[in-house]
Amino acid sequence: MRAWAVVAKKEVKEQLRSRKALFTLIIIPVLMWFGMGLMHAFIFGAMTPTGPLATPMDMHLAVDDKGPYGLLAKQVIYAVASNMNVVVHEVTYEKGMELVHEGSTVLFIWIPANFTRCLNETGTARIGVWVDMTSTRASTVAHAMISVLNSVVAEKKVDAVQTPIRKMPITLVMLSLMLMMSALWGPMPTVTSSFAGERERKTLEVLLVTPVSRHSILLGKLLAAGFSAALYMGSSVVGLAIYNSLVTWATAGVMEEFASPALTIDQALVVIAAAVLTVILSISVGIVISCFAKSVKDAETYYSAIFMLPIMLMSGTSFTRFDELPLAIRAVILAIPFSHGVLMVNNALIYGAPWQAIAFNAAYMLVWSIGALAVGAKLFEREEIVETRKVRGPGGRRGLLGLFKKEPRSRARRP
Amino acid sequence: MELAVGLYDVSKHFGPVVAVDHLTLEVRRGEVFGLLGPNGAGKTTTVRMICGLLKPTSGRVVVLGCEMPREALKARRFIGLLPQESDVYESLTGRENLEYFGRLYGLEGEKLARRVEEVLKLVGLEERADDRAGEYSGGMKRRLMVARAIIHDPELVILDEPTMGLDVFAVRRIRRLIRRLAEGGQTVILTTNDLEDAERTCDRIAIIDKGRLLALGTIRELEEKFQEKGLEEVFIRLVEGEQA
Repeated sequence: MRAWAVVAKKEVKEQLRSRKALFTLIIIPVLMWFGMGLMHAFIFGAMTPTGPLATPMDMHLAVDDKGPYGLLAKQVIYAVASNMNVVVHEVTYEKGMELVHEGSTVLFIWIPANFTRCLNETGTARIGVWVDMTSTRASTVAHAMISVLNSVVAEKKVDAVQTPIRKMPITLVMLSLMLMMSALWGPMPTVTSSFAGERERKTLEVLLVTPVSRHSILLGKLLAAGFSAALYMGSSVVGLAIYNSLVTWATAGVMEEFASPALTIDQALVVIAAAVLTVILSISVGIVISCFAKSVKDAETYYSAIFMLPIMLMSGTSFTRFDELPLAIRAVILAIPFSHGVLMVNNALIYGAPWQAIAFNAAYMLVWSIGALAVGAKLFEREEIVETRKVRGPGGRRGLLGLFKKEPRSRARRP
Repeated sequence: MELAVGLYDVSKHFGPVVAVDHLTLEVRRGEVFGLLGPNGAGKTTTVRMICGLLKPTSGRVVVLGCEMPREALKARRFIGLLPQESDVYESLTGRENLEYFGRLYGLEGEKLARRVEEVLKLVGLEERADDRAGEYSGGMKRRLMVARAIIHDPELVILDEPTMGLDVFAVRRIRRLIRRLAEGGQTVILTTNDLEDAERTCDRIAIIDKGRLLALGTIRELEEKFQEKGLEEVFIRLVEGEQA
């Protein structure tokens, strides 16, 4: 065999035997594109009412004009609605406004009584459109209806006066997303270096021989990770405040429907709670990763990969109304604990969800954190933490569940 | 005679691999006990079982009257370990490294400061104590690790290859330190491949291979028993015989 082939063969063999290389070369790209695909499917799918992700949407319509253009507008709205999987409920103007004020409709269109007369006399008429800006679907439908209506009335013009039912505070959404991302990434340096780092530096064995319980060591490392996460998040908040000011300044008076309202104390508390819970969760999961990884680099690779998918999903949920997603995708998002940080913030800040929904988000993250910590603590107690050889004997236990099984009685014999 | 360590019919398996095979030996208090064997003989596994880091597959380990690993936390107050492969916290100074471990062993304030000075002097690092450990040479780091192992003045000091990679002066210093520890009543278990280390410092020696005990006694006893001159000849005869 030629020398270059010998070298190449050895290199490939090494790579195929390295779990980390396989993870980086195969798992990460698949996960990344899967996450990216899901994210884009959420956003664009929600905007495409005829696509496979589209779920039926309800809208409300009040037609006070009985003239020919009023009837034409109604026909146009029904036609577009049937094409876009939208169910139209006809209501009176008063009822429609009641629904708008309650926030229980995402789209309400009102054709006023003078619509035909205005079009005939001036060539221009106004209609009222109330749209929930947090629903990309509703915005798309409203936009389509107005466009088709304008093309049907030919040289005349229909002015749609749009009023947001609920604003889409882009800067607020970005803030919550960025804050959650900080909460995920903040603890990484400390968490990945905690056990994997001690093992790599070969200081773990000496540490474990001290008369300090492993739970105390674990707690110390958790607190240190919390401290570094707090530092990271503190800097992130400063950075995000600068970001928010810049965007608010740049869009002042132009994109009012996107403007961020000031947070109330309750909302701020929910944001802080969500961030703290996300930090605890990422530390707990990070500890498990660190216990498995042989080196800091390995731990960082696994950490990045494991956190990549939830971040992609989180960004997807940030720009799309959660309840507009198909049930299966909602179930996937709800199952991933990291999504609940963003959902919790969005529920509190944007959708005004009941406290039970926010409490569920918090409880779900907490339960996962406790579970991951318990697994981390058990992993830290294993002999494998200092012994690189497989400690399990023939017929030994495998899998995470084995961690919690009781040890068999020792076969110790008295001398 | 009071015992520091007792291993009774101890075995340790890693899957199909038998690292320690029905090993029985006793280490007396105040002696320097050499655990000799070729690479892969099971020395480090034995040390880890003595420290309670590994649980024997079968048999019983007693350290300073404590059953291991059940009473490991209690026993570890009195154990100092220098692992074969270890390092120091490079971003901390030598002194900070020692203070950290001193605190983990319950030393505080004036007592801690005094003890840190003592051990720094013992290993000859007092002048570089406030430099970051990352700036130390390999030999200096090893000396700092020895200091770390004895920071809490333990009753049992386990040194796994303490002179590995050290220059002749550092080796001499470590050997003197080992003898000094024994003279002060401390028990030292020395695992090594360096037979000269063992000859110069150990009161009794156990030679193990493939996890089994091949011989145990003073150097003179071993020489007489196997009719060989010098520890090296005894060692080679035993280990070669085992491998043949």
